Amino acid sequence: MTKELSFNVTRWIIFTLIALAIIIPVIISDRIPLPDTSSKVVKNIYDKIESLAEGSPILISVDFDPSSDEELRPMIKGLLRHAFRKNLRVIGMTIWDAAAGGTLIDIFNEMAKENNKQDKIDYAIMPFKPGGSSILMLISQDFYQGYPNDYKNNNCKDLTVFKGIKSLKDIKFAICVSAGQAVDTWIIYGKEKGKMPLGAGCTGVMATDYYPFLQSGQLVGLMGGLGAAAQYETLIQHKDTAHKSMKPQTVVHAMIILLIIVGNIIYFLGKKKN
Amino acid sequence: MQSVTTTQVIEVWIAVGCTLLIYSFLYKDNPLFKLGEYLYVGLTAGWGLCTAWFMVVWPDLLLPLSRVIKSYFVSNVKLESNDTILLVIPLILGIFMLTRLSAKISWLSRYTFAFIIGSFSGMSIPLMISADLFKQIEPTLKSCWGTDVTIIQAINTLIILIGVIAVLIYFFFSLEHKGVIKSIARTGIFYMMIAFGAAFGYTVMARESLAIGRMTKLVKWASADYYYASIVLFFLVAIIILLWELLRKRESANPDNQAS
Repeated sequence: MTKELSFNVTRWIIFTLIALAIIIPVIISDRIPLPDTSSKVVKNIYDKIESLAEGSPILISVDFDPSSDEELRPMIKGLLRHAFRKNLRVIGMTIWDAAAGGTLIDIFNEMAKENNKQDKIDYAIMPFKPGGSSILMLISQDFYQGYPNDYKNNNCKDLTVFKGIKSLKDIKFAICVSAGQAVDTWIIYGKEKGKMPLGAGCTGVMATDYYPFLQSGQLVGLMGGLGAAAQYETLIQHKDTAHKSMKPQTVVHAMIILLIIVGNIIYFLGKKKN
Repeated sequence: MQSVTTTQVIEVWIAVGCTLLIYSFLYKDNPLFKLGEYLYVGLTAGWGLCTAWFMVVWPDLLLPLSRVIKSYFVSNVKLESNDTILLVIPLILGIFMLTRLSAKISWLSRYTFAFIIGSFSGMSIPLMISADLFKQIEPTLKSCWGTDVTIIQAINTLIILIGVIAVLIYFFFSLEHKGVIKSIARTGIFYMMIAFGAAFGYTVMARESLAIGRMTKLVKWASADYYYASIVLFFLVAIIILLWELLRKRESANPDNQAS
């Protein structure tokens, strides 16, 4: 009983400390400094978009649902801000059914409004189609076989944004931002068949899985987790939610390191006593 | 100050309510958490069904098929590029999948599975071997010297090469891990420990990001613009859990209940 009580008390102390380490920095986030740095793998994506000529078509695959929104939405927003600022033509799509409604359409429309871009001319949103790998193979041969219409049921061939695009091979840069297996699907099917340069954004949990694909050149760059999103915001000089969230993140990291050290000290002291 | 519409206020109250229902698990498993959990499962299933119907089954299958069938009877039906009678095949295969609900005719679903497995294997195997195997072997076997290779690149290549060999040997069980093999296998363990550490660090960061995102919104929604949604609902959830605890304690203290 005493052991159980002690475990519960310790648990509650940890919960409270973590909660405070999040809430207090959230309230006073403006006073916490954060260095303006970016890693090479994130900068590679920035450089790739920066190198594209005005009007070049790029494709962004939004493959996450609201449960990963906090981590991945800032990435998409950063990418869209950058692309729209460069006057690139952007095609939005998803191979994840849960992203089909709110997530994909919501972010694209929000960013288009912010940057005064027009649907059908500067950007287009594709409806969800099932069978991720099959759809990627299909659009790598003929884009309009996979997507004859956009999500508003306009014929894609008639839209200005699709001028000069026949298949994935005509896309100058594709990037998949995913909370699941969509990046793998894009590497295996999209990249292998479409041969276009591919970048990826993913949750922190998955980031280490994709580093080998950077070494092999299958990925141009990689954004892993909120930290990478904050770095991208720094690169495009538009600090937004990711940057703000990284401040509490720094405090929580320090708190976790402290808790690990304290936990180890208590463990070894207890061992010595026994 | 940014004006907030009534719809936004309602949305925020629902969002805060659902967040707190799920977070109530931090106390312990309770009926409010269960309610949140069931709501999530139900909504996800409903969303999936609606997406499948309105974005796939209706526009890509039933609507084109109805146009094709209609065109056989009415002359002025305008067909679109992807409209074909061949859509009957996926329709039949799809219906076969539903036969799993009946034990008598569930064998029909095997045709659909056979089609899916066969076509998917045919499409995937060559591409997977190319993307996941050949293209991954390439950087492992890169040259460590040459005019275009910097010292850092050479060191990186060596680190990768040693890591791949060491980890492969660790998982090679046909030889007893003794002597040189043991040393190499131990190097493999170090590599894996570093990989696990990096993965764990990233995982912690990811979970924190989600908590920070939610907390940021809960703090924002605690303002007067949203009628103090976070504060009001926090206390409401706390009171309900407290009442539930009291009720539970009273029930367990009741001798009739204990006997039963």
